[in-house]
Amino acid sequence: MTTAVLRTLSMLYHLNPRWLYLAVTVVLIVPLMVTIPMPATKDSRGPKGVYDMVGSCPTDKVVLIESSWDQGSKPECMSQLECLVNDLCTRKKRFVVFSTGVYAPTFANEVIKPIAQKAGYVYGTDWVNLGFIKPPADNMGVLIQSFFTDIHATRPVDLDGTALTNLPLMRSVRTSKDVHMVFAVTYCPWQEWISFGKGQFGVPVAFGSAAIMGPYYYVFVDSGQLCGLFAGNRGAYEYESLTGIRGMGSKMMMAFAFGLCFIIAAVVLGNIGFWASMRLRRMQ
Amino acid sequence: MKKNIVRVITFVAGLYFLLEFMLPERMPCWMGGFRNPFTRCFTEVNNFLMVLGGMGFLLGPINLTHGEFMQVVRQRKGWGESVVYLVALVTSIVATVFATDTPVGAFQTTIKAVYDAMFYGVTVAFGITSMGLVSFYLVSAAHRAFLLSNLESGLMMVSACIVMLGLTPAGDYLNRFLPDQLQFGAVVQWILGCPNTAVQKAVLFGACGGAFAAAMRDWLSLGKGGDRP
Amino acid sequence: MNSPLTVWIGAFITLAVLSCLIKDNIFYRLAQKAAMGIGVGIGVVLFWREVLHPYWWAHIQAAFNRTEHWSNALWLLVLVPGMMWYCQMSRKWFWLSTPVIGLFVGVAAGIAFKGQILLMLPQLASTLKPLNPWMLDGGPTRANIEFCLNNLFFLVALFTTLLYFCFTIKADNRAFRVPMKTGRLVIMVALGAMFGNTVMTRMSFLIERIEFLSERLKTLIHLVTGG
Repeated sequence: MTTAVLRTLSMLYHLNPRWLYLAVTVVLIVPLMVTIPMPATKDSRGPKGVYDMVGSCPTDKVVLIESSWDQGSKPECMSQLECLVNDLCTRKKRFVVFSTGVYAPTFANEVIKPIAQKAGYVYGTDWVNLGFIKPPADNMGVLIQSFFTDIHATRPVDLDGTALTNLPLMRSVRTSKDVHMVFAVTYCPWQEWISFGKGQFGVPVAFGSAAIMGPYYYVFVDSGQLCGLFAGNRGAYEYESLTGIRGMGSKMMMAFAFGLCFIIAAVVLGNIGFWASMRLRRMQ
Repeated sequence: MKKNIVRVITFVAGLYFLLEFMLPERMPCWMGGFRNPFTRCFTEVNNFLMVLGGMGFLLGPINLTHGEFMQVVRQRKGWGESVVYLVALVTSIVATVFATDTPVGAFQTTIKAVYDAMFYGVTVAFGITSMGLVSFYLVSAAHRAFLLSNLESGLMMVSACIVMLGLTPAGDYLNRFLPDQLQFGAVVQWILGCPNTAVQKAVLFGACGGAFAAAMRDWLSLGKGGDRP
Repeated sequence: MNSPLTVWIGAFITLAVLSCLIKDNIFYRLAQKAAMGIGVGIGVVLFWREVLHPYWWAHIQAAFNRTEHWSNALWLLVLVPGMMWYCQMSRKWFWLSTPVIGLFVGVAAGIAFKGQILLMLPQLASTLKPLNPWMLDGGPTRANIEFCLNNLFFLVALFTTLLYFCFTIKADNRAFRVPMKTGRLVIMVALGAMFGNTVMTRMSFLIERIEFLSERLKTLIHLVTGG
């Protein structure tokens, strides 16, 4: 290969990163502007587990949602919460929400209220938001044990300060026996749900986490300690395919495809440039 | 003397939870058949710890605000930015105290608009964009650092590419050209379910041992220091 | 939340943060300080409203108003250890904060034993996977043989990874060279999978922001063209 060609190819390795930043921005805008048809997808174990567990929820029990995500994990967790709440409202399952982050109840309400209103759900009868409950010194195990032993004593009021005894739904939800499953959605759900929620009280637990935490939590899906797992937007996308209700999970998937293909292209170009610069150095 | 008091408090606090776990929920009949006393008062203990732990909520804000305030008072480089912090702090406290979900009247409507602008317009936008910045750095890192120099880096690259393609519709498109066993979804599920799970499990076993040792060391106050600022 | 003021401030802040990719500048630093101040201010008020008020102050108020039992007024005593947190800010009185810190260290240690045991026992149990296809339902069918081979691979990967992280054995020990190298290769595959998922997470933030900005751009174009 001639020196000129090698020199040109080696420039690929020494590219100013700002050109890459611009290129990735342009590449991501395309699928957001143009509608590209999505192919059929196969479900994986994680979302299917959640779907089956939600479906088996009896009428006298509730699904407990710990929604502790905020702006730091909004793009992924918002779509996960949205698809789950859509499914719960469609299948007429009652649910209780609480958060362990200060800003999280606001974000949760932002997602849940419109869906619940559209489905004709009545606050206090079909769903309740308990608000922010702080784990004592970040010991979630202590909070879970106290919560599942006596919910009313652990959190006597809801987000708006209404006593739980004044909410029809909460009169029959007092201990872990009244909870069918727990769905913890946040950037990195508390591992204590597995040891205390599932281990001590035997309540099935599912996680909705950022994709970055997916490989770590897969260990617990494999051992059966987690009944399901949404790892990032992909989890929400597969769940939406199962329920047939398209939402934010599906909206972003095509942009992901473009973005990740760009990263693979960047890796290939970087390797070509590196190989060419090594070759050039040896020739010189 | 002071150190010993702290050690006793630490030991007793840990002992409560250890006994609560180790003793059965109900004692055997020959011991009286009474309920585990530590479990009975667990909720009250939780609420007490929640309140006591929550009382320190101003530690961080006080430290931060003190630093920014001194920056302004001493007129150090960048003191103008510290003024922005202090103004934003005071405004947000006032707006949050008076903001309501259903504003009535001009004052409440204005306060709600200010609160929404600050929370959703500034904090949320800043948080999401800061996290998104990392993806740009990921692109440049993938370009410069992901080099096929040996078997290990090659394996890592191939595994990363397969997982990236398999998690997006790109992999679903390419599946038409592949046999059933080699479809991206199946391969990704195998990578996550087999080698990844094995590695994460091994790391978890090691971390568990470390967590036990650290917990034992903390409970028995075997570590050094902690009594000086 | 979706008012024009909020949305356009969001767009400006997004561009200010993205501008730091070109060079660190005053807009980025101002956006950072503003976000910090607002976050701290909102957090402080919400914390009082959601934690201290319902769990502590409301009981004290109710005790003094005689709507709850008088013993609830004893919650006032929590102020004493509660204020000890702030002794950390003084060199002279730092020692006063150590009992409170010690209490929570003890709580964390005590609860860690239970948490780790309940977490790890099922993990250990699930590690014992079947390796003999004859012992499975249906005998040595193709699916069962594949299942057992997969489990064998899993166990080899697990033990070689554990061996790799066993720092008491030297890496150049002849007996352990091959297993350690195998462990390293398996770790690389897992790291690749983790990288793929990391990219997914980071991309999601970027895609969300680009979508937000492109909506603002469309609005701007509509305003300018009057369409």
